[in-house]
Amino acid sequence: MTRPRPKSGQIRIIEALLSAALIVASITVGVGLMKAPNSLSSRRNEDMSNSAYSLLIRLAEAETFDELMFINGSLRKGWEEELKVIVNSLIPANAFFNMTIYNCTVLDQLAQESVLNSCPVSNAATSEVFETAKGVAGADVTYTTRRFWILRVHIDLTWGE
Amino acid sequence: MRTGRGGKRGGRRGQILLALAVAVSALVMSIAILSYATSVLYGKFQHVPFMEVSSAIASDFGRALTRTLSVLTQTYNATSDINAARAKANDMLTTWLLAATSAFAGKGVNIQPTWTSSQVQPLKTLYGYNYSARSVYNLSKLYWYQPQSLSAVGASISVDLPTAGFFGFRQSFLFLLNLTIDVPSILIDAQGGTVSFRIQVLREGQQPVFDLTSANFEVRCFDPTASSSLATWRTALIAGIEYEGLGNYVLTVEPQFRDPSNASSFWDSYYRYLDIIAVDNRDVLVEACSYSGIGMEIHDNSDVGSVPGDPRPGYVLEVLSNSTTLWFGTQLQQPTSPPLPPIPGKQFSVLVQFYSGGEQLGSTVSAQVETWEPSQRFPSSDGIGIPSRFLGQSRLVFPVKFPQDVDALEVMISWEPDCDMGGASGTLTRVEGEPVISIDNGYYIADVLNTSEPSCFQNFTVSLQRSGSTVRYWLSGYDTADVNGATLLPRKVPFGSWTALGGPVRWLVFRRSSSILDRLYSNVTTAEAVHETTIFFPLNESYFYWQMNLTWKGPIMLSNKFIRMFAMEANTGVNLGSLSRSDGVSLVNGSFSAVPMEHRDRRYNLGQDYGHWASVYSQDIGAAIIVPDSTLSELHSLNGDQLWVWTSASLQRLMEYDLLYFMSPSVGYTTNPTDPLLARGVGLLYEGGTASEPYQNDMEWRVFPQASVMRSSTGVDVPRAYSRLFLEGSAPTIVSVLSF
Repeated sequence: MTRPRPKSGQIRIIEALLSAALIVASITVGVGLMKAPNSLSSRRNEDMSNSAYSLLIRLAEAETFDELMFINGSLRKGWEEELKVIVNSLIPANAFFNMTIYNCTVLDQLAQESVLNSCPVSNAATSEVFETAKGVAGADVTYTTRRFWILRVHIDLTWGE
Repeated sequence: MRTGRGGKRGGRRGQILLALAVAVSALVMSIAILSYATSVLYGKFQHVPFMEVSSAIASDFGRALTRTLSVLTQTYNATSDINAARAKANDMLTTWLLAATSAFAGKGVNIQPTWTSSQVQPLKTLYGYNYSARSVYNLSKLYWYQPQSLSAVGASISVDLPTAGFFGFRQSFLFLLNLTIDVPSILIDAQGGTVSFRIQVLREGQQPVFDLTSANFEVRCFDPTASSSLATWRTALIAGIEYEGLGNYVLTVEPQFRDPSNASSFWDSYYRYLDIIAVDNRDVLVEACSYSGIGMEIHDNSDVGSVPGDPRPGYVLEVLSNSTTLWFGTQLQQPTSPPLPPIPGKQFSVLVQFYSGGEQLGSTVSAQVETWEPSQRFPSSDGIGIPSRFLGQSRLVFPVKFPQDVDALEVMISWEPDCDMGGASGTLTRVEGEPVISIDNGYYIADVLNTSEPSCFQNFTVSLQRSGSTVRYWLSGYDTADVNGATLLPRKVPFGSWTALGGPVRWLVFRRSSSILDRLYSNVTTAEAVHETTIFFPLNESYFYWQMNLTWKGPIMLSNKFIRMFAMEANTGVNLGSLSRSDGVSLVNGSFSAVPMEHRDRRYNLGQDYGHWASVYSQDIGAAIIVPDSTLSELHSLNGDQLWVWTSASLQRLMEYDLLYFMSPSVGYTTNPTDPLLARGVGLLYEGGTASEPYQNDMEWRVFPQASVMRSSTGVDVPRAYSRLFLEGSAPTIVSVLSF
């Protein structure tokens, strides 16, 4: 009578397989979680944001909004187009921008904003460029004019593919 | 047994392997989760560019501050009202704060501006003038009107982003514009008709302002050819501007004159006095003058001491834009004097100093700025309550009191550089009142009758009360009427509402009207005369004074030939009177009777023999009328004048200067429209006195024994001594005037 062959080897194999599967699974999940943020994309967004702020601060320090938008304290006609040309000349060739300028007023201690530009100040053919872009950086600055209009200037910036 | 143990051991090995696998998996998962969390946090961080947002906010705050300084300086320059300008600036910054907070609300930004305090200019001496240290606080400060002037604003801003855990961004700002006139560099080319001078314009950090053109400057020069009521300072044409580097400019200007052919005095001395406004390309403005003040040496010529118990009255001097100095409406003799600059009147400060016992003493006195009509004969109520620049129609009014045994004073008129300060009260206040305008000058209470409806109860112009006694003054009236066997006089009196303006030096109560009240019928006519009367009530003085101009509108028929210039009326308790005679030396004293009676009347005695003053008094009070030489001449002009002394039917004691004495029975008279009544006078209150040693002389004072003339009196000491203070012959003299 032969004694039946012990199954411990099979069990070990099964345990080893289970262990391996567990480790593989955890590494797989871990790798998925540990996926580093897209450094290129992040960097690009950060750069765009910095670029947007730099652009606005530069325009403000040069008093461009006073020079382009106002004449004798009142809004001049066609300032949007001139501003578009200026901004376009200051950003990289493959970048798109969309600028909106708000007039901030205070009534009964409440701040109110109204859009000043009657047409888009943008070099994008359509707003779809920003809707479909992978990264859009926005920036806001306030600008106090010589006649004490308080403007909020918002710009959206994205790179063309 | 071995197998069994070995099998047991083999099973444990499998469990260990599994356990190790679980541990490794857990470790891997932990690292992965930590990495994921870090990644998420990084993702969050990168969307809030703190520094850019903070810098953008701070940058615009700096811009808003600059704009605020621009608006503050421009508004103050236009209005001379620093409070209004400051309120506007503060409103603007509040608006900016709300707008900026709202604009960055999506980023959870907290913005907190604070006004900082910092010194912007140390203590220094420049061109012989000492400048105190200048600091910026309360947002902004303007130090103007001196050879070195500046406008400055300073504040800091804190920006926090609590949602991103970012705190502590803080930035301070200081913006200023500094204009310095190089006073020794002011030169003339009389042939070419130009004045040239060097200035330096700096901004914060002592940075030179190098981009200014002639459009950034306004230069005003004094025009000595203009009458005092016209523009005494004119904007010069800027003929040339040259930049010499380091913020230095040389300006060449062509002064403008009303009469260029008569401007030699400008080229002799007045060219040194410049008022310059500079505006930089941020629209920040600053104003500087080439001198900081003027000093006058004034000599007293009255030779009047002080009467015990009655302090010697002080003078009130008035200085016009061209430095013409008036004393009781009369121009004082003075050498060529530097003009007062066209700066806001509130900036003037007056210091009166003198030497006593080898020691220099002095104090800053109150001053007020008044506006008069271009004729300089009548005050103006235009712009009351609104501060304004000191121009041709302005008067700087201040008191001058010579102490006992001091006959020379120095009056230093300087201009305060700090625009928040004001040595003089820039504004007067208007006071209404009906039926009387009541004025408490600190010594007496004056009531000026101010009824808008005709009333027969017009029985005085000014009533003075002190210590329970009352004396009433009439300022002109004419004609008489018989009423039930008595005589109403004057029948007609000037009528109309008064304007009353008060300041720290004196009250002005004035009226111009064509209304004449007929007291007989209680109606008003405007057909007979135009009258202008100005009454001055100096504060804390025992006197008041007036000037009057009544012009007939045509030949007016009076039913009786009677014109009263001034009268003084006291109640029954005041029973003594004195007057100076026409020789200016001798006096007449007398008592009033207890029944109606004419005591001095040219119909009966020597009523036309009178001098500069007359007084009524008792032990409780004394009151006098003092008339200067010019008024005496006016009184004598129609040869019908007298100083009428009488007790009325209501037992009032009256002493009055009449241009035409009272006739009974009536004699008609037609006025001469080319002969206006121009008169000035002083009303003086004092402690009173008594008279003694009566005797009979009805030619001097009738009628004995109801009334009698008196040999001696103590009630004459004050009017006899102090009347000299108000006479042209005793007017003070301005010995020298210098600028500094």
